[in-house]
Amino acid sequence: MVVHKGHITFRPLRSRIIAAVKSSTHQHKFLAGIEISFEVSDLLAGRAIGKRGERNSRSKMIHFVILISRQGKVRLTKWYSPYQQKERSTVIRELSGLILTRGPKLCNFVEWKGYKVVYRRYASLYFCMCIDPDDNELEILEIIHHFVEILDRYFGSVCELDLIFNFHKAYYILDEILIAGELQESSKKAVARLIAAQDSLVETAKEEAGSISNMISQSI
Amino acid sequence: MEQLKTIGRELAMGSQGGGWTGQSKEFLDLVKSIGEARSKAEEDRIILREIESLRRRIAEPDVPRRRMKEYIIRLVYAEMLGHDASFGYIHAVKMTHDDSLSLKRTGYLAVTLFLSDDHDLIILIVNTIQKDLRSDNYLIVCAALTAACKLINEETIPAVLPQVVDLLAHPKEAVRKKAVMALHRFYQRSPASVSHLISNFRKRLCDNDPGVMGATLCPLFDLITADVNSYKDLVISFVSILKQVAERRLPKAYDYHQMAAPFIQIKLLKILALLGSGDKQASGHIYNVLGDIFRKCESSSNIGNAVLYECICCVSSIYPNAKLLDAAAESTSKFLKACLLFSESHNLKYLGIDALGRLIKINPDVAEEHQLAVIDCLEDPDDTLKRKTFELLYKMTKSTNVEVIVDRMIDYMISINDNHYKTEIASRCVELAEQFAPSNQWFIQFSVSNNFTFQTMNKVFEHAGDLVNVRVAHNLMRLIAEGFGEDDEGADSQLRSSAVNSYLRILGEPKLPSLFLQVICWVLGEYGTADGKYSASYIIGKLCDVTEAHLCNDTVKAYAISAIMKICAFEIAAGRKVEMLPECQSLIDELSASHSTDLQQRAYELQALLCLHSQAVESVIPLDASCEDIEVDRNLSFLDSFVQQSIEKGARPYIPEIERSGMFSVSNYTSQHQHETSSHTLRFEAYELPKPSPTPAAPQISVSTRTTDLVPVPETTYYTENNQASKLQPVLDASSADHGIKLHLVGVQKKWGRPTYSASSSTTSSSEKKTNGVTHLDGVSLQSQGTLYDSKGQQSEKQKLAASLFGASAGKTEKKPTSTQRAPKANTATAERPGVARAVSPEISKQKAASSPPPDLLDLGEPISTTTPTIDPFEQLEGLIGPTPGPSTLDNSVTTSEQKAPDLMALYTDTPPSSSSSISSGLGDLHSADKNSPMAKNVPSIKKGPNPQDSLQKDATARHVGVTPTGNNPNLFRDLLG
Repeated sequence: MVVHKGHITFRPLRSRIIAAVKSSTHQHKFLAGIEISFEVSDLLAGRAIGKRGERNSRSKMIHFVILISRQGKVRLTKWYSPYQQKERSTVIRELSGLILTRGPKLCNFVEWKGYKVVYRRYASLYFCMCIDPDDNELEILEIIHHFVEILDRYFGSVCELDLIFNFHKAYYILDEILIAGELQESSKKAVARLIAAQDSLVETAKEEAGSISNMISQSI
Repeated sequence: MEQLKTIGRELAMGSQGGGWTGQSKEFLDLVKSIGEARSKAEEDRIILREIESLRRRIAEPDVPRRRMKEYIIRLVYAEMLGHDASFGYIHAVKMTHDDSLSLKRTGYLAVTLFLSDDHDLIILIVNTIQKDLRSDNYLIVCAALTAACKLINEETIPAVLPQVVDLLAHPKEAVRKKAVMALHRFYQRSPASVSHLISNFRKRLCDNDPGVMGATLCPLFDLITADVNSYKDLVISFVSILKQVAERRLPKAYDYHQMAAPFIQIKLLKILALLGSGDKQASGHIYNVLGDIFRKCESSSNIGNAVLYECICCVSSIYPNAKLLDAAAESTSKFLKACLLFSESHNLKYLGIDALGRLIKINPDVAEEHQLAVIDCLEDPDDTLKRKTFELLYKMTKSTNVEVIVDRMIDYMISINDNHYKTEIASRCVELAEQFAPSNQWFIQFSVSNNFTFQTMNKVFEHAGDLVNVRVAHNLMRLIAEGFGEDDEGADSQLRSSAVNSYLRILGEPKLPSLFLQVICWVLGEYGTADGKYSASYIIGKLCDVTEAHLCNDTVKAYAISAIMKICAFEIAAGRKVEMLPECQSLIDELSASHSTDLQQRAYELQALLCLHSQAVESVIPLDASCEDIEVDRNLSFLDSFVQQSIEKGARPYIPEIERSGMFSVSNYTSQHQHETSSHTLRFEAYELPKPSPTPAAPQISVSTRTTDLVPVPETTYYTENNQASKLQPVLDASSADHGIKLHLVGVQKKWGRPTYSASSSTTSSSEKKTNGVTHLDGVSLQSQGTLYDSKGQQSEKQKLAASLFGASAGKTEKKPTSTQRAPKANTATAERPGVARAVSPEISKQKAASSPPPDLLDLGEPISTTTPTIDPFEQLEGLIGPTPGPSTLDNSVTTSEQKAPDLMALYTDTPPSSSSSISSGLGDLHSADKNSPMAKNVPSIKKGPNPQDSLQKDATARHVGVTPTGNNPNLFRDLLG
């Protein structure tokens, strides 16, 4: 079923790849073609770099969200502006060097490469958001807190372990709060309601899937 | 059946593994082992192993879907830790096709995290997104919209746009909200593709759901930033929304820490700040609600302070209102003072400093009472706070405190490692120094020390800071060339010789930034031998050393060889013989064979110059003429006698181009067309580029090939910046508005010059007795000595520093009426920034020149040849084809053309001066001198020379008459047609 589906929707790309690779109709060779297309896309990474200007021209948005532990381990990253994988590593390395070394009583803002990074520490976890220099830092600080409060409500007194093992859920929640680097919902209730609705649907879907597969396996 | 179901459920639960939620033991182990990893290397090893096993397993033919979901999540994990998981992207894309919401959501999540919006796989997802946007299940629609925000790029917007617009009316508020955000994202990606849908945002502003309304504020903010005027009508709506929000009309769910929907309030305040900026009427609507918020906001919580801060920003942005400014000032002082009550005091201090920076633009009085707080922040161990304070100081700099502030900045600059900020603060220092430079000596000293710190900066600085610092270097050269005192030649030459001395000393340093070397070369070439202290050969030797010892690029070499040329020229002109040092000769030889044509030319020019007679040399490179204007004789009057002679000998007199080509409607039409376009382009250039004439671009050609850099283009940016700044300060009276920062400072000084230390007069009076310089010194030494003092001593030190920062001149000027203070300031300001006057005067002179240009200007070979490339041949052709319907219209058009003639004249007269001036200013004296003689001979030939414009017109004429052109001379046709 899945394979079949993939076959249909992948057709446009395949035709493109065939042109390049002169490949056949086989699924496996097709996947080999995909590998090539990645290389091509890496070559085209210049496009993404070219968009850097765009990142600068935008005003007042959150460029990325990073959660790092006190030991500098990454717990969650979300990039709203285009960053290459390599850049991401450098950013994380630089910022953890900058933020983790700061004393407890200093202010929660750090200037970094013309941007500002607002961070807040909860137990052993640092929540960092990068913003434009003329944005309202205190507001961002409270958006972080808003996020944490919702996490707390969802997991029931959230701890770092919750986020470590359920980072994808944290992503879902973050997606309900921020879209494209802007705050989309400031009501905790609305976010909680939506997440709950999704979860319940997921649960029922899980049950159905489980029972169906079970039925099939039993019937055979 | 029922039984089967329950068994199935049990099995399904069981297979989830006892863990948190549905992950397998493997995954939990992975996360655990990562958690326990002691080093980054170990973590990398674990992840790489994991990636290998995933690569193998994910490619297996029949992976169960739920297993696949976990694989994808593990890929996300690997990618999050900075490893490449691109082999799995395609599986994440596949997963978005799944029917089950759970899998689909995972697929979308993974895809949004993996792919950037220009990834090749995006086209595979667009189809799915389209389908999901039509889904009955609103959760699927939400998931698709979230993905669309991240993934849909400019090319694919049209594919989903209609559906997203339909979703704006979806019954579920969550969907509407996400549709608004998606549309906003599309607008950011490509404003043109959604420009017709902007009215939808206005509609959504009235949505019943506050969440949707809040989300709509994001796109509206962007739209208003781009174009304020078309949204002025919304001011009243925004104000009423803000009022309702502040009055807690929104559902309780939007409250945050006892504040009523603070995030929406902040967004609204940001929008109102934009709308009210410089608009008295709009601001009038805003005052009331701002006052309310100031009253209601409690500053006991972070979020309350965030709203207060946004209010302050808004107040400082809109048309000023005394009451609100007072309220803002009060809040600011709360930020700065109430620090002790809070654990997070630094945040508030930071905001307080920032708010202060905004308010002093409008009302410089505000900062007075916070002097000590500001000083405290400056001494604070927190770097962020320190930098913010420097920003504030930068904003409040005036001529009395500039030395203290810049010294402080340099100290700080030397102490930090952050190259980015180092560059920024360096350029700020230089900017301040140029604006307020109290004494020339100080400026040079300062620049030298500044350049010393440049050395310590590494490549990053040179790459990142080049843009700023090229300007800085040119300004420094100009400063040395022009001097400060306008009529004090002695001081100027003293300045120059001290510059030469210090630069010769600096050349001993092992490593110098190339920009600095350029300045040094230029100064040595220009003034190295001026005071007779150093011999020409000594300087030349030094310059040769520069090109060898320092690892320098072509630019520095060019500066060096030009400097050598200048010195040689001065020597020759003075009647002394120049003996070529061997190293200099070898340098010339090396450069004549250089790959760079620029260097080659310079080397050959130098060789040619050495052979010239002293008088010729003197006129080519006059002594100390870098500041003199090059007069361009646009009439070419010096050719008059030559032309006269030729005519007497029987040459045909020159016929202006209009007369030559103006006979025909067609040619007329085209030429008019051409000249309209060309005049546009030319005018554009001419007014965009500021006049280079006064300054370094001047006769010394040595630098002239670099003139693109040297033309003080940055000046314009300065002025525009300043003008922008002044736009932000509507308080200033109208007369001051167009003078930019200069008059702005007058206001500052007036306010800040008052006695400041009324409260603790006993301590300050002692410091005020000291001279300005002494207090300054104290301020500088403070940092190093500060620790030795006891707290009381520190306090007085701080107060001294405060006095020097905030009111150094207070003791002296306190009783003077403000008007006397204002006058000298204005004088110094003009003296300090000669660019202002100079930028204006060439403009005027140019206008004069443009108003009365002679007709034969048109045939100056040079300008025309430069204008032609800008003409689009197709346009010319269009012009040719357009008005050729038939011979019947010919007569009419001939008459019209005659009527049009005067207009054409006007067009013609406008264009050539601008073009020629831009060229001639770019060319050095030597070039024009060289060209003068050939040009004289060329004048007649140029008239006939091949010229695309002419030939096209000829062609057109020919076609009309039905004659094939036999010669190049347009006059032929003129004769034919009478």
